[in-house]
Amino acid sequence: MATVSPGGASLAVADVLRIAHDDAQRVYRDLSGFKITLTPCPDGWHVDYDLTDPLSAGGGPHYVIDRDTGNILTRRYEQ
Amino acid sequence: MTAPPNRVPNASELLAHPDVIQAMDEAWVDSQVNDPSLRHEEGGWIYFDLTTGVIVLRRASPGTQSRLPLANPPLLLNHVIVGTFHTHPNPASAGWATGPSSQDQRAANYTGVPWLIRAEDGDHSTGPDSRRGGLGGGPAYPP
Repeated sequence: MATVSPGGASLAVADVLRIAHDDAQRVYRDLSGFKITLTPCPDGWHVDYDLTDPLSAGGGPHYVIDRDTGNILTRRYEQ
Repeated sequence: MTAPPNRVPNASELLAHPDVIQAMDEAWVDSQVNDPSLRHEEGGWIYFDLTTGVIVLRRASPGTQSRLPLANPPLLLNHVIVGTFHTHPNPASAGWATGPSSQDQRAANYTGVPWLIRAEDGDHSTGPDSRRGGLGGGPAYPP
């Protein structure tokens, strides 16, 4: 599988997304209607779930995931 | 005879208005916050009568666990929308942020009216302090 390596990291993008998605699915149950953005940053992968409907109240989960170990370093569940 | 109002209420005034408080109380109860499998967002729109200054509220259809569409408010003759309200039913003890989400902030600024939020730790507001453009702009969200 292809990898994207911010600063030499080896974790595949698909793995980062799976880690975030597993947690998000457990907490939010319904993940339809979210735009998912993965951004390589110095402190890890930022994974952000944002609603595609601009006039909905609500929110999604936001993560920082360690780029080497895949550990979730921070998580924020917005509503 | 009372003169028509010359300005719209701001977020603080809305949060202190008895009818808004009652509507948020009712929305909170309807959100079923004590049932993890059924808790969901509730809310609606806050209108201002351009002749009398009376506050009028309308509820939106129930939302889901963490979202509530507020895109299509009913339009009331001779009223303007001066705010929205909704609940954040999920508790901080389960890891949820109780205050306005980044989406709430963006949507409030986009619609041009303050968004009021009831959560377990009290009431919050986000977006403009009062309706963009004041009394003008027609019955929907302000242009």
